[in-house]
Parts: sequence; structure tokens; C-alpha cells
Amino acid sequence: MTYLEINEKIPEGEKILGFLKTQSYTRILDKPKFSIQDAQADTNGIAIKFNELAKNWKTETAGYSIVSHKYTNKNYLAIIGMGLAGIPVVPLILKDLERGPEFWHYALKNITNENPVPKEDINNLVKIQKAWLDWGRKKNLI
Amino acid sequence: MIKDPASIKEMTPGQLHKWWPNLSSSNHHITSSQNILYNCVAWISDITDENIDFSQDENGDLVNDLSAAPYVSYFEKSGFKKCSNADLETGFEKIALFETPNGNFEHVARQLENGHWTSKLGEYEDIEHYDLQSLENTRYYGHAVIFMQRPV
Repeated sequence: MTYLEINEKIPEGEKILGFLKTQSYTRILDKPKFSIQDAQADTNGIAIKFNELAKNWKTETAGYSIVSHKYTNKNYLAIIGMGLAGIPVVPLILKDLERGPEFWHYALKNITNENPVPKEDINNLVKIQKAWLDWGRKKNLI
Repeated sequence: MIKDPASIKEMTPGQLHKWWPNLSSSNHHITSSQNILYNCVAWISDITDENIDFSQDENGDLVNDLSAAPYVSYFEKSGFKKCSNADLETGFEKIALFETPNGNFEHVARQLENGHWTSKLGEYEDIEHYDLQSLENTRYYGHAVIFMQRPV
């Protein structure tokens, strides 16, 4: 899958709602009228859904050696989609990152449009972890 | 209760078999603990604190070329040259690069002096496997199709 194809999979605006529906965001979608505001306010539901997606992502990609598989996994893209929709997943990602190094850089960068990781550290998960946790603390997100 | 996603780090031998159905107790043994910090390419280069991954650029964005070409170039800089097979040959160290049918690079293994192979399996353990077929499958790693060697 190419970078352009991946970008096409990350929805924006109204497309995000449909995308989340395809990812079985059922707890919120069960409501008669679903809105982004509903999703943003449902803190516990967000955490449950995030943990489900994160667990599936890790399970489905742990055997791969190459990050392209990790970053294009449907669960990972769903988390990015939630973030782009304004659903507060970044604190949950940072919380997961506090537990240990993980491949969250691509998601955090695409959701926040920021990149605190120096280019020379892009292959070092420990340094990436530290850079994003420092960033999160400065933003009072953790 | 909210499940902790970090709990999936507790891998089992059954999970190895799920990823690599050809692996069995008779064709491999585990030689390290699990480690997310380095991948198979780094392992070939004796690096255990970083990944070496040409599917992303220096900003962490994915690149278009997912082929084995940049990995072949990388190993050539370490003295490897393409060769025709994975047979054990005195005086040479060999590596085998795995590709999927659509030509994407997936894995690399290094031959040991006893003819067995050593591999880092994604975020899982390092293993010594007794042949290349034990890691081959169409769904994940594809097949060993590129062989390289360098003098030892």
C-alpha cells in the first residue's frame, strides 16, 4: 500500500462518521442521532473503544517487522480517524506510551500535526517515547 | 472493566504458531526474550536498540517503495552481494530476504555456522530456525527469494 493510498484511507470531515461506523463504534452509534459531540463527550466509551482498537492493532501486527503494516492496520487507522474527528484519543495514546515504547509516532503525528521527534531518532522507540511524553506533559495531556 | 492494551505483550508459543504455521518444536528454538526495540534488519546488523526500516522516511511518514531494493542496498554497504542460493558454504555468511508475492519486503534471516538460521520475529523473540521454510507462508512473510553472502 502506498502513502497516497493510506492517506485516502484516513477520512476527514463528514467521511469520518461513516468511517467510524464501519469500525463498529456501536456504543455511541446505537444512539438515535449520532454526532461527533456525542463521541467527544463519552469519555468512558472512548476509552473502551480505544483499548479495543489498540489491543486488536497490537495483536494483528506484532509479528510484522516493517512499520508500514502497523501503520496501515484498520484498527490503527480507526484510532487516527477518531483523533481527526476531535475525539480525545491523544491522552489515551500517551497513557499507553507511558507503559512502554510503542509504534504510536505515526498516529500522534497525523492527529496532532506536530512532530517532536528529531529525524535522527526516528528508528529509536525509546527516544520516540520520551519525545512524545515530554510533548504531552508540556501540553498538559498527561 | 476497561482492558489494558499493554496486556497483549504477554505472548505465548501458540501465538508464534499462529503467525508462522510451519514453526514447530522440532524446527526451531527461542534464543531471546521479546523485544519491541529492534527488528529483523537491525538484528542482522547486531543492533538491538533500534529498528532499521526503509518503509518510513526520516519524519516517520510511509514511503511508496516497499520493495526489497533499499534493503539490498543497505546490506551491500555491509559487504553482502547477491548469490544464487541459501546453501551453507565454508567461508561465507549468508542472509535470506523474504518477499510477499507482490514484491514487498517482509523479513531477513541470517545463516549460522551450523547451517541453521537466526531471525528476529517482529516484536516477538529471536529464534534459531533450522530451515527457511519454517518461516515461509503466503499470508505474512512470503518466501525467501533473495540470497546474499559476504566473506567471513
